Amino acid sequence: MSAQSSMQPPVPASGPETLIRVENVRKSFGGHEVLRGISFEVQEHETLGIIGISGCGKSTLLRIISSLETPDSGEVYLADPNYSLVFQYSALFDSLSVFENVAFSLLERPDYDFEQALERQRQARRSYSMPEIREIVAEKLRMVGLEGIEKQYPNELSGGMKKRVSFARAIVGNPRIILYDEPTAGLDPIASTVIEDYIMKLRNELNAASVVVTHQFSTINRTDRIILLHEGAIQWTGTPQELYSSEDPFARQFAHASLEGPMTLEQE
Amino acid sequence: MTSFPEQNPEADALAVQEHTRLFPFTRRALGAMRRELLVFLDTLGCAVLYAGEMARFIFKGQFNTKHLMQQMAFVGIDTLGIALVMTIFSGMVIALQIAKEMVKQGAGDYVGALVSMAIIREMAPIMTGFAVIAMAGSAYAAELSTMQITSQVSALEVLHVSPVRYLLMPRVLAGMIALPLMNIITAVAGILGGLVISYYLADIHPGQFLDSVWNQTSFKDVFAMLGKSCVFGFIIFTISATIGLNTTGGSREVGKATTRSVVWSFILMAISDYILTYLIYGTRS
Repeated sequence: MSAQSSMQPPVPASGPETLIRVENVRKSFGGHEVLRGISFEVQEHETLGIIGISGCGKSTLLRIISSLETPDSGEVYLADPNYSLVFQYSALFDSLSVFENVAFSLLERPDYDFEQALERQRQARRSYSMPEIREIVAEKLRMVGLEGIEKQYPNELSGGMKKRVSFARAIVGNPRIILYDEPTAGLDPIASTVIEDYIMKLRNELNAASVVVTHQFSTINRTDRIILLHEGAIQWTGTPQELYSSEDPFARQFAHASLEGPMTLEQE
Repeated sequence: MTSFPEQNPEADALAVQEHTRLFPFTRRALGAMRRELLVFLDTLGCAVLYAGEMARFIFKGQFNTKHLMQQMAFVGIDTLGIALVMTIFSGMVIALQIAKEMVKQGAGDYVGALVSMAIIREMAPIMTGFAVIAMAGSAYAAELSTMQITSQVSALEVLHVSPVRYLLMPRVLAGMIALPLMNIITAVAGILGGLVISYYLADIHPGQFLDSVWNQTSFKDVFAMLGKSCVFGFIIFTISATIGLNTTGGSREVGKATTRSVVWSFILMAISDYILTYLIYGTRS
């Protein structure tokens, strides 16, 4: 089986368009199998939550979907090259100002030649004038409640502000596929609600497909569908409502944050 | 009758104890050396691949002039002062060692030539390289390794921007351009350092010294100096940036990466210095 992450669109089907397709993805690090044949699809206008105890392979899966890691086997199809990833620890460029961070993908031309779609994106990037870029950046910062901080540098911001700036950077190109690695971790409840609202807003406005890796129940509750990973395999899948009422031992243990159950920290 | 050495069980036990104590230490030390060698070879391989990628970007004309100028300013401004001090003192030391002796031997006319030859051929490129490794190479390794462990490099990739083009290329090109320019200044300063010491210590007139420099310095020497410093710039910044971009782990690894960039740059610069000097001056013809 070929191991690749490609930009080929999935086979067209009637109904909502499938924007992400993960097929039988496997990944090992130093003989330890982190992902064991993961498969799922995410359609437009859908938010998929990936949950599981620490070390179960959630972030690795996200890095494979975003082409930062190559799977040992299996395939990942992204229907649109215009995707973005919100990192767990913001990953803002600390030598650049907030404006330069948010406008980065508009100011820097892309280097990787994926498909013709990327060429279209490249052309679109070139067409922005500096006043337009300033307007777009101001709008995105306003959306995350941080207007007027364009000239500041990341080291002048709090952890929550950095997170929201990284969110603004991720959505500046109006991506149709958005991947979130713990988007609300470390944020206060109000900032978390702002981000969660915005995840929903993007889903509705851009018809975006989102994959959210999270531990926070407030975020889990806002997703459309959940997959629960354990030891690199999907143990359970369902809606947030089903998570709390499920009799599945994995889902039950996670939903009730119980120490009793099949998942133990020793298994990390 | 053959006499056997007297048996000493206590000494034997001590020897065994010493052996068992030292052996694991030796094994650990050899293991660490082997690991370091593998990392070194791995880094060299990565550096070659990055150099190929850089060549592709340069060939396509994809480089950011603004970034290049910023990096050149960083390398030049931060490093020139130290490089000047090191080269001036090198010139002074050479003059200190040879000027009086050569005047005694009636070869005062050749002091300037010898100082300039040593400075231009060897001391200026090497001292400037040392200063650049210590100031800019280590800073780049620390900066890029921090960017790597805080996912900033991954963020670049997700934004479809090549870390090699955006981070590595401006630094390497800046080094390849800035080092030769710095070298011209440091070489002149080093020769002037020698001139001052020759005048005060051996009464060699500055005009006589400069005549000697002018008559004996060839274009070949100057071009060799510029070529060497260009190669040193390439090696220092490619190695430092490659080490930075391939760092994994935490803050401890940032420290290790910085140390590695300094040590390996020194070693590779010394080796390449020998090879270049041999190719330029060492052939039999």
